[in-house]
Amino acid sequence: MNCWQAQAQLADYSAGFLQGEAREHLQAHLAVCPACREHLAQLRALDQLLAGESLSADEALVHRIMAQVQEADILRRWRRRWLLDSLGPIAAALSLGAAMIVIAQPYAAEWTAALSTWQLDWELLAQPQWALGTVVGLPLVAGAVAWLTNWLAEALT
Amino acid sequence: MAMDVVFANRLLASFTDQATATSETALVARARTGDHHAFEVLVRQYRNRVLNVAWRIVSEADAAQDVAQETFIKAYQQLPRFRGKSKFGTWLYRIAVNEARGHLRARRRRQARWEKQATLQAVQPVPAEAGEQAGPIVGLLQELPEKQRVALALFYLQELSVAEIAQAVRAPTGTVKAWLSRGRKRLRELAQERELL
Repeated sequence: MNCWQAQAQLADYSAGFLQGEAREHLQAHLAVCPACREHLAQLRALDQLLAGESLSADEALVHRIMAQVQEADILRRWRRRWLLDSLGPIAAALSLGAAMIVIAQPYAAEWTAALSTWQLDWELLAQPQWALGTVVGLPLVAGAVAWLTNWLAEALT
Repeated sequence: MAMDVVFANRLLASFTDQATATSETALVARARTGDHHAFEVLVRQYRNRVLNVAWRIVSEADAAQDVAQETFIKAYQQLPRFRGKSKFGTWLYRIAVNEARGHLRARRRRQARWEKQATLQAVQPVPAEAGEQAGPIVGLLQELPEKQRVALALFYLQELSVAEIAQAVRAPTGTVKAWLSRGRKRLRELAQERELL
């Protein structure tokens, strides 16, 4: 092994990455070569210098971090609460829409025709099945869904 | 031949790690459920190490403090997603490295803006922030390519194996070894040029 080959491996050697035969060959070269030993000593000195140059985190940093953690937690809880609170109305609106689609399905063709000409069929609206569905059925379904989601929200928080 | 000091420290750190791993796992589990006290213990345990990783990458004490702070806040927010596949420390250092790199990108953008303005207004550009508050050797790190600097910043924590550094920077182990080797060689040359060695 010559000096050029040895010095190419010194950084790996001093970091403990060099194993087996390669390590043994380098150690044999170092035993007889003062220049490479000097090179290795410099690398080690550099490691120690860099390891010695360090900062210390003060208490203020810990306090700032923990204050921000508290803040992040409050925000997270608030977001979760807001999401759960809004689940009721959202579910109610969705169920209302779904119920309307189900009820209006037998009249889909008439509604499509009415909407395409922008003329509402008031006779259709006055039919007992439609009126009953709207007045009694929809609020019942919406109320039940809202109550259920509210109960779920309470249970989760 | 006497065992290298850095290598010996790393070996010792790995034994200590095994002993503290259990208590750390418990702390992480508690912190995941929103236990602030447990998280504060983790912050105290890692604050110096995270701060120094950040400092060696950004080379500026104030910026390193900001990076460390952001690292812990991000870690707290992302704790529910931490699955424990790697060590908590490795995961935390990955966040620190990402934050520090983000800081460097922002700094480069600022620098480019200043230089552009200076060219337009024909005034002296604002000097670079890098290295202003760094120690002599940490200042030299700034002259290395970013990847080598990041690998060295984690290497000089003296607690991570190359595999763990590779995990933290999401790069193959062989690549990290090459970054470390080239980085230390270049650092030695720079230190010699400045007569620090």
